[in-house]
Amino acid sequence: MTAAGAVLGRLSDRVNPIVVKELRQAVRSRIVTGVFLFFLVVQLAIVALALLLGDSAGESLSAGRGLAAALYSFMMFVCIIFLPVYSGLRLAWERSDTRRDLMFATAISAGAVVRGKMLTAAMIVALIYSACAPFMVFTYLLRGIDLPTIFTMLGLGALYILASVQFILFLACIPTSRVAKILLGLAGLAVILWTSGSAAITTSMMLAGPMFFFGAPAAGSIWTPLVWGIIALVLAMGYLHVASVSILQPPSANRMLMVRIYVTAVWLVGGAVAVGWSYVTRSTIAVGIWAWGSTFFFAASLLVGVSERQTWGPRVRRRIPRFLPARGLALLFFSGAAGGVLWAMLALALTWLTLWVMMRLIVLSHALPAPSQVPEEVIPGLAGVACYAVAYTLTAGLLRRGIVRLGARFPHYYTWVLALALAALGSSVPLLLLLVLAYGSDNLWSLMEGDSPLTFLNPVYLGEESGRAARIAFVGLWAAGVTAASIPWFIRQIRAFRPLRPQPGPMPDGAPHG
Amino acid sequence: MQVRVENLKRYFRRTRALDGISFAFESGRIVAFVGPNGAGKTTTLRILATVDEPTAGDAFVDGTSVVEDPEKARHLVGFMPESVPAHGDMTAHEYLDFYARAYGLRDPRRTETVRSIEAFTGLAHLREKTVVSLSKGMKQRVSLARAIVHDPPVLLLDEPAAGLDPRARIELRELLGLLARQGKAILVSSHILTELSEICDDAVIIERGKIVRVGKVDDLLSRDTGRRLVRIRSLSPLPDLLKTVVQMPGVEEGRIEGRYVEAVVGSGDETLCRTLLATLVGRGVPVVEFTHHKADLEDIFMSVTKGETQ
Repeated sequence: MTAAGAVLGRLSDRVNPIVVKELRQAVRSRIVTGVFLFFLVVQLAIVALALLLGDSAGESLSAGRGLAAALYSFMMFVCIIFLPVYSGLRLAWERSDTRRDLMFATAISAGAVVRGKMLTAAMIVALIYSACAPFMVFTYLLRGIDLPTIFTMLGLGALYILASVQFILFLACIPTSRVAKILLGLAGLAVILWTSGSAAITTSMMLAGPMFFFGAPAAGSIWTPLVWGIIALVLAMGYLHVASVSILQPPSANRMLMVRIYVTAVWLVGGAVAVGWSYVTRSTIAVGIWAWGSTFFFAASLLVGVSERQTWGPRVRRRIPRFLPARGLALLFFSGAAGGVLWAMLALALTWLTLWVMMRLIVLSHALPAPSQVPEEVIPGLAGVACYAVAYTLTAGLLRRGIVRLGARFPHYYTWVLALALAALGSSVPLLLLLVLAYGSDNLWSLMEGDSPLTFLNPVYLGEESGRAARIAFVGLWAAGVTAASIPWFIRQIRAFRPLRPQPGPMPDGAPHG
Repeated sequence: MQVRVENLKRYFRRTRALDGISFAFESGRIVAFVGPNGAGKTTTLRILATVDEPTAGDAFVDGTSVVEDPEKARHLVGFMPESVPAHGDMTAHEYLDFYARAYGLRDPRRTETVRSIEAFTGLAHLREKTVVSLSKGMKQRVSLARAIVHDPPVLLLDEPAAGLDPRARIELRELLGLLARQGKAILVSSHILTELSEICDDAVIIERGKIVRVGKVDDLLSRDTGRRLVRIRSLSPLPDLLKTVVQMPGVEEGRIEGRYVEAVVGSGDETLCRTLLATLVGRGVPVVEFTHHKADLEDIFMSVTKGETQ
């Protein structure tokens, strides 16, 4: 073998096997080839029509901008539908319960599978861009748009397409029936198309000024939301990536470890940035946005946490630290229901506390007027959201354990369904009962207002000012009560969270036997 | 190297595909895994191959749990499923190259391994053909090649002979013999019991998710098929011959079937057959044909299973 061949061989070894397989299949795929050729033909047609029917390039100062918008819209529309569907369908097919692909029984890690799929999607984007970019660059010659704008648009488009692919890959990883997968896929596609509206708005803002980078009127106002949008998109992609890997891992694995490490890191860094930003600008808006996002995220994480495993197999137990403080930290981050619930509750409490301290520090100093500050009601509002999440989740956990004690089968991974069902019942049943019992009564509507105790189980009423204090006191007491009732379960779980003691395995005993 | 299945359970809603099965086998042995449709054979193999997870119980390959350490177990197990290979749009060579990469084989070892396996399984001349364009037999070979690409000590073959023509079956049988002689532990599930009888050392019989028999094929034959069927043809009238035969010691029942008298003798031991023949000849019966049917895996299967499915 020549030196060049050896180097190529070594390089080839480094490539993710999934990328090799997917690209080999993509170049043979009639769908990919068809889409690529369709792209070329349609773009050629768009350019030809624009040149033949539009104003001549010499007369119009915005011909290039219009053509760029047409080409870009077409490219984004096709890519946003085609690539996520192509990647998602393939993974969903390979993950089918009845025909799970054998590549999942090889040495390829779950992370490599997701990374490979994403890298393949990126390469197909590059392939499509190689067909699209020359046409887009051509629009520069027609005037009305500059090259930095074109390349920025293409970059943002690529990021949005890849985020969409990652989102659909995450949905494809979820183990569920074929019908549910189809419904999930359609819902995911609807979300992508819906959110692509924001990408369209950004693009139109970029195209609003003739020279986006050089003094366009819109240039100043677009950068801040654009940068925050990009950061949010990248963070969301990161979360979806670790969540997808976690789902693909075997049930015995410490699935939640990477997810919790990632979320905690993002939450801490985001919190530090928000606090710093608020402190410097003397405005609580940044810390308010961070607290609002974190509260809803960790409230949802409670549902995930309570549905996690109740016991640990040898694989996880082998990694539990013997050193007690380290074990306490591991409890919060390792897969497990009690740890998951405690982790989310701790994050909710710290988030609220940070917001409260920052509000006290900044608002009381009267640094900036009210429009630059988060309204005071946000503090009890977020506390209410956290309390409702804790109350419904832990009540569901208590109920499930009660059902199991009665001898019925209720898998722990469906606890979140029970919690949501309880929330739905709590929000609707008292009001429906009231409607039936007090129908025709003059004070029916007053009974349905926020200060009515019958609405106390409904978290939607948190937005109403009337009866807020009583509502929060009620839900706070409820959350505290179910937390206290769950303490024996927490203690049992914490006691069971112990490292594995090495045990001698059974000796082989000869010929085949039953 | 030992494969040990311990109290394996797999439920699909109310269906108990596997209801606490346990058995074990070792290197260099070919084990027949037989049972009616829906008995739980494929489910067991999928769990051993880490493609599926059990509801309860575990299986160990050389002490490595397929539940707790599936990533490690995957290096030890090669699985050939009943279904034809997916990714039919790849060539046979690309397909094997992908799986070699997937098991972490690096060049130049990967290239050499794929080439030698293509030669071993007779795929060398078909390497550039897409998998989808291959015949059923050739797809089975691709599937077998994929299962052995990482040289696993344990092979799990699910209906490997299904849909193969007689020549392909014989070739497959020879391949399996070769692999067993290389020291691999091979678990073969098949409906074609006559094929298995000839190559298997041990048998595990499963029905409705439960093990009904397990052990060496010879032991099972002597245990479960103690009775033998003897067919006699003579020049004397058949009713007279039947009367003589049923009076002999050890003969449990007799009947006339065409030109033969068939007698069921009550022991798997050949001594009784020899005594029967000697007695008949000694009494002057003009015997022109005397055969006895030796029981095989099919007889064991028929005698221990009820054919129930779920």
